[in-house]
Amino acid sequence: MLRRPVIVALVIGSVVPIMAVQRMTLGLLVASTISFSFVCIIQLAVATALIGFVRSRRVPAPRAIDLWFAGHVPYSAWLLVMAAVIANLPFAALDLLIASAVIPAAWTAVVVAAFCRNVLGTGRAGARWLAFAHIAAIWGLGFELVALSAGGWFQITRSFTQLFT
Amino acid sequence: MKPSGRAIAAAVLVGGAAIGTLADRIPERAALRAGEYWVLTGDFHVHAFPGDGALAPWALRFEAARGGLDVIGVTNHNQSLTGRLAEWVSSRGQGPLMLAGQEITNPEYHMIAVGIERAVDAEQPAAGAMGDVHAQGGVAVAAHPSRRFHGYDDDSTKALLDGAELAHADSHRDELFRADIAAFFEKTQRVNPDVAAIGSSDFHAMPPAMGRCRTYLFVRERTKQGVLEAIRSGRTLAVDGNGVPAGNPSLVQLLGAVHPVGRIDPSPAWRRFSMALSWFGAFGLVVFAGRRR
Repeated sequence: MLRRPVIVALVIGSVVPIMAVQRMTLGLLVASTISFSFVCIIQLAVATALIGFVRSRRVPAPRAIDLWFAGHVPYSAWLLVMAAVIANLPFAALDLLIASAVIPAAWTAVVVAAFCRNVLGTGRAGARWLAFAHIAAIWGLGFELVALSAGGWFQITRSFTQLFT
Repeated sequence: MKPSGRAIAAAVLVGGAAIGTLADRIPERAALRAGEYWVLTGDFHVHAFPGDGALAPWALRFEAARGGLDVIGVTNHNQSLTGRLAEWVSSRGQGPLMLAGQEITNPEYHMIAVGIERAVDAEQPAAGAMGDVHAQGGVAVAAHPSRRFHGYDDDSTKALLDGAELAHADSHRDELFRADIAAFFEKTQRVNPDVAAIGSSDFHAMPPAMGRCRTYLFVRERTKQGVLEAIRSGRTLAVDGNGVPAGNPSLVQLLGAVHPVGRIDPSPAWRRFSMALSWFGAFGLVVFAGRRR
């Protein structure tokens, strides 16, 4: 059940040093994997709550959680591509990062909808709603975390204003 | 037994990291003197994890050493917890000095506070924030004071500053920004002749590297108090990404032939190879994650 969450944590732990310091050491790999494992813990909590809540589930809970984390492929692939690009740029490319995040977001919506239909046994309409709720929750939580760590929402609105002007 | 694709990918990832570890040598830094002072190199605008930075304090310290820095200020937006954690880590063991700080973040100004003991309320005018910083024994530095910020417009506010960023990593990609911060420093110097010239990287989680722009400090003692005293007294030079120092001409003259060592990258080829190998390992983990043997 924890194989895929661990892999996701390792991918994030690999991407962070490559992007930040263009270097990889065992110390950096371990430190980044542990530091950013909170991302996997949050996803695991969300998955456990959702999978436990739905009664029409077609597979056992551990298998459902494993499949839930299979849905992280779009973001994992995007992170890896972004790390390779950003590590070779002289400056931070926050605008590129934000703009390109639309791709894994859309791809993940398709994956989540398929998960809801095939694993949780919901209908097509229900799957669409759950996929929408998932995107809203992930991006809402993501922006809230960014706003919290950047000093306030005015920092986000300012960044978007700069991005589009 | 044939190993799975996943096991091979994991081995490639760990192997890449192991090669990177073996190639990662951080030479000792020689202590430099100029006249009656020690010359230290600092970066007082660094963000860390947890918060808006990528590296946790224990990793940050090694990165500071690789960056040729003697002292860094850990200045996350509107919180000082990470900075205090960094200072605690720094007090236990060898390596560059890490000082607790905060980037006081207000829509009208951003201010670097270094040497503080608790978070400063950002919901107040810049003068009030500087009063809090000084009351805690810290120093206040105007962060990237470009034309979009108006919190420092009053001369009376400029007079309270201990320093202002004269070199910032962004000035190497934005000429207007570079001119803005130079003009701000000049205006501040008119009302506050001892204002310290500060060079910072504003490092978060992406290039440019920590220490891309940096500060040379002329300190009497190589301690936290020595560093803060040098900033308060304006005995600093801001150094841009090309290694050009700016600030008080007498300090530039005093620096003379002393050239602090910058970023150290002893094995760039091995560093890149280990990074690429790790990347392919992580990519392989994604590809083979779901494959069953």
